[in-house]
Amino acid sequence: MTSPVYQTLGEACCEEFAVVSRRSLLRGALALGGATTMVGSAVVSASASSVVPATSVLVVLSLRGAADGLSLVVPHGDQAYYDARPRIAIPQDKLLAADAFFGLHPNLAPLLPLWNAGKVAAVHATGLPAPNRSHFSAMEELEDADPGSSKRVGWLNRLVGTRDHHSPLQGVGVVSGPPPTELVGPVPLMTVGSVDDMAVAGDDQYDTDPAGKRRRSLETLWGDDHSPLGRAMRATLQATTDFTPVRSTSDNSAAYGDSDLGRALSEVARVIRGDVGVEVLTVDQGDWDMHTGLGTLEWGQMIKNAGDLATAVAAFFGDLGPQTDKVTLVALSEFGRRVAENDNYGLDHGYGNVMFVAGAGVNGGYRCASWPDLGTGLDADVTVTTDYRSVLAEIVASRFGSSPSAVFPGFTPESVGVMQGA
Amino acid sequence: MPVFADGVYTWRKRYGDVIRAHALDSFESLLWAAVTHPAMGIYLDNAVSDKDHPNENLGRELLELHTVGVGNYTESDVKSSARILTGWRVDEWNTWAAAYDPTAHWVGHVKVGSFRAPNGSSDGRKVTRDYLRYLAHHPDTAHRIASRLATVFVQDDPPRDLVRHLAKVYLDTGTQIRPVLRALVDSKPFRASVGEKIRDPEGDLVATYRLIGVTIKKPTTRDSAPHQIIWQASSIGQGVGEWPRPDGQPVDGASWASPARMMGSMSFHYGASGGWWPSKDIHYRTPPSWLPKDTTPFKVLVDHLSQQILHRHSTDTLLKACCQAVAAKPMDQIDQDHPVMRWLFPRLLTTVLDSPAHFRR
Repeated sequence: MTSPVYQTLGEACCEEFAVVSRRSLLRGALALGGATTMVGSAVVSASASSVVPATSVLVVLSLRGAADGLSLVVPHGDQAYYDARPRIAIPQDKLLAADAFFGLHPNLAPLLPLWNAGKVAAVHATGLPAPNRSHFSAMEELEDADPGSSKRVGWLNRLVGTRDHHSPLQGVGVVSGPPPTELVGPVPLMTVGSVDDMAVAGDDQYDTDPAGKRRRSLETLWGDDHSPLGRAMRATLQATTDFTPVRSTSDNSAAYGDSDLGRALSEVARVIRGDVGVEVLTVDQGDWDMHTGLGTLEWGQMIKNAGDLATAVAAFFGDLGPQTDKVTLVALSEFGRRVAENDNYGLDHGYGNVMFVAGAGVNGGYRCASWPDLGTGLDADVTVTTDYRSVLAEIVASRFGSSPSAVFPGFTPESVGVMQGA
Repeated sequence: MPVFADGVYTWRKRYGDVIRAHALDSFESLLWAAVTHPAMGIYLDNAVSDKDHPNENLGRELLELHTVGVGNYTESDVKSSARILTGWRVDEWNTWAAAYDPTAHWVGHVKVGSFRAPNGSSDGRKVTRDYLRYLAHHPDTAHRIASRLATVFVQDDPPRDLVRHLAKVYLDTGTQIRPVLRALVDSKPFRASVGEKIRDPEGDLVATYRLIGVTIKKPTTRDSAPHQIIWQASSIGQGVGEWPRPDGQPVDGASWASPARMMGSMSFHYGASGGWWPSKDIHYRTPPSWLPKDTTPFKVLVDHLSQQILHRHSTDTLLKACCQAVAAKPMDQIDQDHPVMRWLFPRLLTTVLDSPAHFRR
């Protein structure tokens, strides 16, 4: 097993190697450029562009609060689902893209063109290796994805760490608050609320010194600070320079629907279209914790959330232009919800869930290692039959050529078949 | 509890009053007031929970977030916890009135940790009180509260001895919060932590405005400073009262050491240094008022600013950074007509505010 990744990639391996060598070449050229234009102190070289165009881009969309996978991808072939949800189950004849067992929530309709083109996969009964019904601890566990270690390092930070070059723009969290666990770790990465926020205040047209007084001053001020604050400042100084092409991309957010998720994904699309070497982006969407009022097809939170999700994701894939063939999106939650509805047209915390994978390299359609017995009663759960890391491992290997064992230490993935060449 | 959660606004202001009233009281009284409050019931679904299908949301977060913490309860504990809390209802359809409804209370034996009760009465208020008292006095709760306070006031990952000591004071004084804070302030780790703890967005906002000497009046219009300041906190990374989840906004420093936060803070510092915005119902100091004397060398001015804002003398690094920011030399003589005290002053002041020392407290 010297190079398991390239073996499984088959023909794609040569292309991948070509990419690697082209990348190394580019990096050399850029380093030279940085050296020749260097002005004054050595610190300035850190501002030289380190952009290497991405060959693959992964967008991780976290549906926070635990989305109900049984409503989004309905197991209509299992009577236990209908027995457990006398009021909120979705009738079989309303489902979209139904096969003999599964069907999509009607409000996922905007995704149908992508689905019919084989660009979307839904992997059911996925999740953590053991139930964890705490939102906060489950998010940590899911995004750390290294259960043997007490170090707080996210799987996307490890993924970027496997790449052969480094720039803080390789990983971007679209978030103005604290960074998500999946991005946290030793490799400095970026977080930003929106494209327009990616700037150093005072580094503007009035700062007329050719050497950039403001940036030089900040580099001096923080040069000796090796704390997390200092690392964040250096990442910021580098990334804001490299980010320039993104600012001139067009804002197409009107097509995304009026939702927070739509606005965030439209920002993500701009970053990708800017082609500044971003390989990993994260987006959080927060309101899936439907203990009450999940509702029916006539009312409730689920019809809205499902519609917002599908509208935003469909608009996103329509907004990538020439970058489309690079971009894979995965959507997942920290856990699923209980099988049986409660008295409030809602669902309490459960276990297994559905994951969506869409875009480049995806084998579309429904996937499920084996459909579990849903059981009966208030505690009935979707038992996990596919560890979520098996799904992510296929993406990591097929899109980035990264070793799954480097990204998910100590884990042996099982084949899911959700990615081409995996 | 975010101010904008569905329906919560009907009780949210009163909830804030209750938290403030009990903040320096006993944790037992604070817990009772918070958990049985209608705002909490609405936010975490207890207000619509009933005996047929006890909603687990509040019952779980009470154990995980408000008391003993994750790892210290079982799924069976969550079920009993939810059953105990049934009955505290709010009419979310019409009046938003809160009332205890005995017909909604689950009756029967309950067990959470070593707490056991026959729970035979349909009036579950007494069993709620007994249960919350048990949780407030639980050693795991003591440890969590001690650990969080020490994280807020001392450092991320606080010393274990300190946490143990604070937990002991908490339990010995019957969950009184005041003696715990006194013990914290008296501790060596607290004194040693000065200047090490990263300010969160609100802390940055308040400290910056105080240190640069702005005065703020009561708001008269929507674009008044007191309203815009709320927005400014979100632009740094966390709006006041806007944390969207029930776990409370992070109290560790690492969470606030992100690039988005650095960019937000720099943008805020620069705007405040220029006094450009907000401009209504707010007064900024004039640049000349920062001069220690009518004419002074640049390096003396920088030292003066450092003492006023960072509460320490300037360093070689700060002086060099200030020289670079405004293209000045250390011995340049500065008076109020010098460019540094006119159009360049915001660049100088923001350099002091952007220094590592101002990001910490």
